[in-house]
Amino acid sequence: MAIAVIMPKAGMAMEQGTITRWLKKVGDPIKKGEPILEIETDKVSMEVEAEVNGSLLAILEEAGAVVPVIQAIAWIGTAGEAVPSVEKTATAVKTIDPVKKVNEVNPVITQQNPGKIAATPAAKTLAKEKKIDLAKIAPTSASGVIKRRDVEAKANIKVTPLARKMALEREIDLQSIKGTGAGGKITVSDIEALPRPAKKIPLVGMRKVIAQRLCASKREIPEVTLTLSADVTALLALRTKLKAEGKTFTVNDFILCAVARALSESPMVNATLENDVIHSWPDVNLGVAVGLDNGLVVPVLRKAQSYTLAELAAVAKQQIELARNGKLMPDDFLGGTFTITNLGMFGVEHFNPIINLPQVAILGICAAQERLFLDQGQVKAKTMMPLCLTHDHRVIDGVCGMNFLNRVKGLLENPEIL
Amino acid sequence: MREITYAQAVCEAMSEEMRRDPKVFLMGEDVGAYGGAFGVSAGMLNEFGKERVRDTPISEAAIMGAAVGAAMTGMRPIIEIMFSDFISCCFDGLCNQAAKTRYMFGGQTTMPILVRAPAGSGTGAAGQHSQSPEAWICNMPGLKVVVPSTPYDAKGLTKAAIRDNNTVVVLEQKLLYRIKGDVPETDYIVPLGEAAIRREGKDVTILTYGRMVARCLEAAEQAKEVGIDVEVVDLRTLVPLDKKTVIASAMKTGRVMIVHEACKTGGFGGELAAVITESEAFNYMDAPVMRICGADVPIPYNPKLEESIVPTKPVILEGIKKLME
Amino acid sequence: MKTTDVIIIGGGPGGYVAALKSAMLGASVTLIERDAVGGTCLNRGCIPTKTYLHNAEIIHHIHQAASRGILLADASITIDLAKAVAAKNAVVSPLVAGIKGLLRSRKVALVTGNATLIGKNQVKVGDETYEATKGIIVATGSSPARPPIKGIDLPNVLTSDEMLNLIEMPKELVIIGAGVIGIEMAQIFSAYNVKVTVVEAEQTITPFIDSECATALRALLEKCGITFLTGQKVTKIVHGKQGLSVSLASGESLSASHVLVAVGRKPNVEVLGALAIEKERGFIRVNAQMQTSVPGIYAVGDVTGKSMLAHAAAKMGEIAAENIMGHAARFDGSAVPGCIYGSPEVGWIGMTEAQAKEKYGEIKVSRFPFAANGRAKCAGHADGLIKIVSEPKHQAILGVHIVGPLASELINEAAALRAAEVTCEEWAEMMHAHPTHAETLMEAAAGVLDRCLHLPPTKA
Repeated sequence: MAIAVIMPKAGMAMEQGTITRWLKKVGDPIKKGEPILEIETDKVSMEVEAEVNGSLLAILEEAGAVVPVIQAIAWIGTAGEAVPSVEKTATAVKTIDPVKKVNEVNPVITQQNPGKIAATPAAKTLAKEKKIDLAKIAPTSASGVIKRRDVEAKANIKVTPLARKMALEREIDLQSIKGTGAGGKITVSDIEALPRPAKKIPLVGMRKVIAQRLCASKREIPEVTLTLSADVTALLALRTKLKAEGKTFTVNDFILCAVARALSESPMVNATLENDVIHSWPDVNLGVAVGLDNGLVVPVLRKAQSYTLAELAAVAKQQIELARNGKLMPDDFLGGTFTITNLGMFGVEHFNPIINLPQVAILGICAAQERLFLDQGQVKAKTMMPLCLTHDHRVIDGVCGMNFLNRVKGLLENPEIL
Repeated sequence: MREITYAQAVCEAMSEEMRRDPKVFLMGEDVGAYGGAFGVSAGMLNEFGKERVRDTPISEAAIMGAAVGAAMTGMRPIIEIMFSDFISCCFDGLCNQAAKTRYMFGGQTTMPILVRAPAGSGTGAAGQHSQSPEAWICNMPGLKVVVPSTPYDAKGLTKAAIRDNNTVVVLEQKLLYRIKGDVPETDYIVPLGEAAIRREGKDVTILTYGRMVARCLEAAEQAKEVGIDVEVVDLRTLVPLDKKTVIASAMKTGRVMIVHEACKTGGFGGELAAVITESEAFNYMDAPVMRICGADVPIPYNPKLEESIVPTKPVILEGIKKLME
Repeated sequence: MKTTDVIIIGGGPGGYVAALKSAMLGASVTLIERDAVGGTCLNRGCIPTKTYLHNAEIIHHIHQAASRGILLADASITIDLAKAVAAKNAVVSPLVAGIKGLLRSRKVALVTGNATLIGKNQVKVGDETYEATKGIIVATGSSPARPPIKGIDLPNVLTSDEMLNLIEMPKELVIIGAGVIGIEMAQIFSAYNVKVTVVEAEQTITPFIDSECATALRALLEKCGITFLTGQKVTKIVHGKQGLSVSLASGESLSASHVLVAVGRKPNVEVLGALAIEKERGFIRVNAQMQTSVPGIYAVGDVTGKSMLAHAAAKMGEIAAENIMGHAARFDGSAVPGCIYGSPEVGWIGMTEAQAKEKYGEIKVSRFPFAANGRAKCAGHADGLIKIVSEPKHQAILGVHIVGPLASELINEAAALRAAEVTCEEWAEMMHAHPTHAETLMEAAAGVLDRCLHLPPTKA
């Protein structure tokens, strides 16, 4: 292996030396300890001896050359050996990044504390003092730690007294507002520029029950609504006639009577579905939907099929009155087999009533309207009242529903149910 | 007010005390004829003679042992350990005798020894002649440790140390020997255990001592230009520590930086950080305590390396900005 | 042609303030004034009337003196009206000079002459044409209106302009119009021992202020001997025994030596020339930035008809200047305090009780009488009250109305706190020096929260 001959550092302060002359030439055999060249520094002239035996393979610098110390100037090796290439000694001094070296910090441990808020002790102290929730503060430091200034910013929000009161009333977070007053102060106009909050009414009591029941119904039941219009011209005429005789009935009384009759003939409609079992009820317990100021109740008229029109009218009147005054007992709402809901007085032309679980159908009554028809080439006026039947398709198919509805229509159009 | 160098201030302190009290004497390597390796005791042999300014053999253990014996028999020796690095050569005498004798003898004797040891790097004196070993000595109950940063403090603290009946180690700052400062000609002392607030500020506290004080002050000036108001506290005495000043400053700013040239691990900065964290200042800290210290390496010979491994002004300034982040 | 950044026509409070502000914001300014700077306020309005009202106050003090143990050898008073006018002029002239000095100090070029707009950025004064590169501000103010009543132009039927320079003491004075000017003039001449009758077409005097305060004011002024005839219209003025006779619609006739017409003021719009510009009831219409319908032309002060008060004009002047010089500013008409000077004074800011009730429905009104105020009692003038109109939700300061001593000063405290959106809750907590008139404000504010300590508790 070739060994380099270097410019020796012959003194503490020596940086370079001059080759005065070579004492050997390339190819000469070299003996260890033999002088092979002479060098000169600004202090001294001296001979350089060989460190090893071998042959002088190459001379890299000639006489007269000024060479930095330690740099290779020749190679000694086995005769015929290849001469290694050599790089000039690097003289560049590596600069050390002092910031990195001296400022070493502790190892970073990945934060493993979810739910814990990173805040400096100063921030925590101030937050506690000012009763500020640290969870509501967004840190501004690069490290994500909440600093004292972040808490101060929240505590020292500049806001006029009136604006502060308004913000409190409207549950507005002052930190979310950019103030337009002097020095960024939040003013009344800044508060008023924000959208006003809604009035909050919790869903409790009757409202909650209604919500739950209707949701359940919509969720569970595959509903279909069938609509049919009944010609109530004759019925209205009959009603007028009876009134003249001192017997007052509402249109609803007729409807209740007709539906009760039809139900008694339609065992699959006068039914409830509970736990995959269809209960076909022999008695018609007719639920009548009664609207209250802020809700809805459905008192049940039991064994409705057993009453005459007059008797049914009386019972209905009594129950509806009690319902309106909130005087019904819980039992009065149980056991319904079918429900009627009448929106006719509101002018509703069509609607899809929601079935009252666990019943399987509900009938909606719409407003009666006079319409013109062609009857054998003649223009005739008839009063038509749409009936909307929503039924549970698990129990009642279209044909069954249609048959029931037609039966109701038929009874209403032939109101000799006295 | 007249200006003298740090070295002259120490000399004046020793001379005044030796004039005042015949029991005070000085011994060490080359302190007499040579006037001290750093010229601190120049002229003293002339004034006080061979008995009171004694050149010793090259044996720190012997010097220390002699001091212990002298102290025990009623003298008040000042010993010079030529380089603070050599304190480890006389550790047994310093720690097992000087530190503990007063306690173990139930107060029957005192150890009024002043150990003067030039410390610090920056002179190209490399690994065995450049250390700041205060941490070793601070951890030894019975020893007091003092690090003056100005000629005024050098005289005052040295005089106070000589009058103290306990062993006090003064780590004189080699690179500060030539600096000049106002030093009164009067007989004054700087009491041990009192820090000096060199610069008041409200944003950041720098706790520092010795050679680093001046560069911390320079960094503070630069910080002022970017709107950061830095308080620089020169501890002056490490043991007993002026905890009151340290804690008060930490509470005021909530951001503390500790700067010393001694290496970080096991350095005095750790003690300061703990003092702050244990105190009521903890609740007011708005950033973790930052230590900017020497690297955990032997002091290099290469001048660029030697400079880079102690706290430099840019590093201190970076640290100040980071604390404000 | 002379080119400048801003041209201002009219050197009254609107105009000269706009000039100073524009110059402060870096504009080159030319101010054109046909008479004296200071305008109506300084020369024919605020300053002269307040000077004379101080005379009335001195007279009032003299009358009070004997009861306080100050005995004058001769307590009879005669008024040398010519001297009074001269004294008034001695107040006005230095102030005019002062304004000129201020304009000079800001390098505003002052041009004397009658200006006419000849384009949207050009003004002609005599033979000279001025061009504005940034904007023109019209601040030509207003003049007393003479309604079309027969006899309105008879000699000794005067407007406030002439009235303030009158050197002949009236024997009987009839004032048409119980607005601010009418009321103040009534007090001046009533103090001079002239028999004063004020005729007002509306059912109450000063109908634009809170009605409760108007009623209180009337009662106090009637105690001074001023006669008010409200709900009465003047049909004609003819010659009469004392010189004039004023006929009312009711059939009644009032004899007078002088008649003061104080029914309102009309805008000075001759400056507009042939320029098409939108007007509203004769006044130049402006938006909240003081811009008229012509881009580059602004109008401020009385000529706009908005809050015809000097301080409103000044604020408008500043706002116009700011907008011209590129800063966004807008005029808040609800923040203008109003005053009537005299004895008692009247001050108001914000909504009347009626206005607040209409807007808020539920309001809270608190009153505190000067009769319960120590300082007022010391000074021997403890009539009147503070009235604060607030609302129960936030106790916001909706309106403050004061009839009584120093109302014009006290209203500034109310106006300032209202502008800063302070509520009555904080106001009631603010320590006020004792004994001062201003304590009444603090007490009235406390009253809004039913916490007033210096009145007996109201029965629940």
